[in-house]
Amino acid sequence: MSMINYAKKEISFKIVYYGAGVVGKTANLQYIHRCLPDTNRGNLISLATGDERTLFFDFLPVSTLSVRNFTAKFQLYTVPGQVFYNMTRKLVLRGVDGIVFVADSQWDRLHENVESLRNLEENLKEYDYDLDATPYVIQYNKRDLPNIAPIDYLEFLLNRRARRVPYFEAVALDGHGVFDTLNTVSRMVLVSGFAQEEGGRNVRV
Amino acid sequence: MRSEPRVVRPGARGRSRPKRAGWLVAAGGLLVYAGLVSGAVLAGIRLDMGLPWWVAQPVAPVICGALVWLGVRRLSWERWFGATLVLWAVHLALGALTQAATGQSSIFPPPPLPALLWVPLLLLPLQDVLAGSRERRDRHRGAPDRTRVVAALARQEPSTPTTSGMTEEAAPSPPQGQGAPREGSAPRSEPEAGRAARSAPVGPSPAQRLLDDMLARETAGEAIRISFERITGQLPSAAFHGPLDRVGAALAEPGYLLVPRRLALVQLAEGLVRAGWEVVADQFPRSLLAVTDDEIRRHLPDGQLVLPLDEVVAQMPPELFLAAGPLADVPDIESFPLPFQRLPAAAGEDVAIAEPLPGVAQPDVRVETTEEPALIDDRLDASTPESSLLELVDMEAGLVTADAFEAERWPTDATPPMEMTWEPPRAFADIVAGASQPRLPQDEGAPPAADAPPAPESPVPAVAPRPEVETITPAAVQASPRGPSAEEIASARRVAARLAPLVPLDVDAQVVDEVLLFTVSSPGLDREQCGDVSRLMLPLLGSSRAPWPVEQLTLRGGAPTVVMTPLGALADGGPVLVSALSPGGSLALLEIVCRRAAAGHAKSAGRRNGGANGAGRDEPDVIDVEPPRRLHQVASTLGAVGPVTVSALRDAETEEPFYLFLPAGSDVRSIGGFAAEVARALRKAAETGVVFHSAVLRSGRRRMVIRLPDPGAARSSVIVAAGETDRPGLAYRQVESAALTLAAL
Repeated sequence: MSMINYAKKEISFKIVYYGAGVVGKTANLQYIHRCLPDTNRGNLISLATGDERTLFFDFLPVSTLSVRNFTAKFQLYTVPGQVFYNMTRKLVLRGVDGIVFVADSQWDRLHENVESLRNLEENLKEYDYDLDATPYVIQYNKRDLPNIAPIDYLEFLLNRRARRVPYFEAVALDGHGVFDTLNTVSRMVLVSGFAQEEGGRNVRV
Repeated sequence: MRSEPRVVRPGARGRSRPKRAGWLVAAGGLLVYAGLVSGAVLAGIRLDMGLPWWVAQPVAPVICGALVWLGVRRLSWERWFGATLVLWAVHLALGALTQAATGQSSIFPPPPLPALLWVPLLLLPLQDVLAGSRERRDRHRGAPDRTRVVAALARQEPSTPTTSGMTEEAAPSPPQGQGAPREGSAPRSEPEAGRAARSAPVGPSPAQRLLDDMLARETAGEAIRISFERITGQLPSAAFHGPLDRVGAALAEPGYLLVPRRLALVQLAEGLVRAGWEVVADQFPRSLLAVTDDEIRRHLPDGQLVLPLDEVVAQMPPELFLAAGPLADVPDIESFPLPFQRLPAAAGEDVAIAEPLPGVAQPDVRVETTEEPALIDDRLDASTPESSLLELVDMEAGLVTADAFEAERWPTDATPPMEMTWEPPRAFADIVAGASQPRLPQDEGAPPAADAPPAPESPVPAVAPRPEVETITPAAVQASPRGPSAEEIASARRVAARLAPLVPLDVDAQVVDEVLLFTVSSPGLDREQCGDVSRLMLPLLGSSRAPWPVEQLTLRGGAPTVVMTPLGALADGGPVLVSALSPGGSLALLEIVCRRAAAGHAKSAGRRNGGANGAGRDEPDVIDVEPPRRLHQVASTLGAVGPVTVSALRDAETEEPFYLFLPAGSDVRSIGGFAAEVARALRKAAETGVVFHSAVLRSGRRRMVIRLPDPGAARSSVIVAAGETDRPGLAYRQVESAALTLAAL
């Protein structure tokens, strides 16, 4: 849930990078962390094992430009993708404002993507969130690999809702598509956050 | 409204053809029969068996029964009996008609001939009806290839692994407002409808509608080709006689397996297409199969072959994937500038470093930059779900950042006036919740007095999850030998605040044996039980009992898991942080944060909890015994704690054996005595209803794992393993395995 501090003119959002295991969620945050100046980011907390699988979550606080006289701050989280960490995923989703669903483009990972999207929706339901009402985008990662599915089929698999959401092709390790994804979901979150604020539904602190 | 496409059940076309042919044969047979009878009459030939009446009568029903039995196999007795009666009735009717038509004397029941010449032909068209179950027929009759494929498809559909165990309810539902059956959607059959509901991760869209329409129209007649060589790796290595290329060449479609397209279509939205072995089994020459179908099925996961998705997709209609609807329109999105922009890359860097954007307020929280995220030692085991692996990660800065972000949300003097409420004075509870509330005077450390004047308090915003807080009684605090200091309170507050993103926590404080306990627990846990456990274990944390200074004691295997972390010397009244976590919680993170809290406390208080050497404890009441030979076998599996020697003790009081795996030169009796005390305490805890099977003691790099036998195990020996380790998670698992092994030996 977005938070607005009127005293400091700040608005804070939580964005979660969600997806199956080893799809590149942490790589997204690592690249963002590398590319932002110190003044705009905090430390990246990455709890990972030796084979770069995330334990618990990653966390990167970033701040950005002034929006309507407010400084927008975003807390970027990833979730552990492995099936058995669902409790952590659920916890990280609490109070989420925007979601980046990161999908692995490789043929042999497609089923995991579908399962992960299903898991996302299931976990959101536990908080009475509705994926269709939550700003989210899809990132098709690892587009540089040879054994990848065409975008048309990925869209068929993961973006087949009545309301199609923006999607991005990405190579997170190289940074391709990373900021496009982040900027879009951030703007969607801002739109949603300020719309709620104008509707008086936000929390005033 | 579009016209609804007619649903064609899988295999409908394939089934109707033989049925029509059967009726044609029967009709032709009837004509032949009529001709034969007419010819016989004209020729004056009497078609009769010449049997006595009492012998001739049973012939017709017996023959009918035998024909049904042979023609429609594996019928239930009821169905066989009914089918026999039907055929006999037809025989009687035809015989009577024949007698009437030929002007013969009417005999009832009529003789077997000539009617029996035609009646068996009825089995051809009526076979399905008599069998009653298409599946049974397909299973027990030799169906032609395509029919068998269709039958396999029909059998497989309901169990196609599209949901991976997800329940119907758990599966994503259509978007709001889309839950009702869509206009124009086909009235799908139940399995198909269920599949669509489960498999579709999203709501209806043009692509989804097209898929539904295709499924409704699709029949099993069309097949897709799958390269045989792409699936050979899934088959048992000795599945065939002869080389695989020979097998591939001998397939019905050389080099390819044929799979019904419909089977692929219904799974296409899952990103995984599988086909049961029965779908393709008939395409293999039986002579080349070296194993039975059942053996192959057993070898395959769920008895199914995973088909190469790229080949499947390539043979699907391309319009299916081009039918995606328009992208979501996010109104006003353009009114916001790009929040994050990259400037041109600096020399020698592959990424750009952005300058602070104009108008960007500098963050109030300045954190030290971590150029690369902290990663755990690559020697660690990736499969370890929770362990002390995480202790290598420096979380402090980031968590401070997180806390700071939270803290910034709270009002300042410039905040518009808010409604103020008053609650009774709170001490520790307020402080733990300090991240979510304005600081009160008590926050700064002074324990609240019972008659403290009311202080204004802002309402807690119902926003981000905060630790649930329970007010402790002033009496509890006052009973403490000393109240919690500001540093201690701050440490505890940080623990709760840091864990808030992961675990909502209830917080309490109590005094046990003149030691102040801060209890942080998951909501719903019985804190009385936690207190009882703490009371039992507390003496063991003291410097006079443990063989090493105890930095942390974790009790596992029960619900909850309890982590006890001394923040100060027990002799000085502690305090001790007791954290209780529900099963499945983030134990490793909890341990780390608790230790950090202890370190922070020690630093600020200028004292350490340590110096334990066991010097003050009594002579351990244990007896040396000869270690069983099997222990040496188990010792080799405990590599995570380094090389260990094997020894065995027996508790003089309980006669319980203790098997110890300790580094050479360890004080076996001292450690064994301590383990015996821990085991007794755990058993007492079990009497209060909290059952733990392991205690893990941490002292620097040293770990000691005390593993109690499982209740009901054939052998009841306590395992004690200790040593310095960089892989505590692995060490714990190895001890668990050793316990299993010893129980089995």
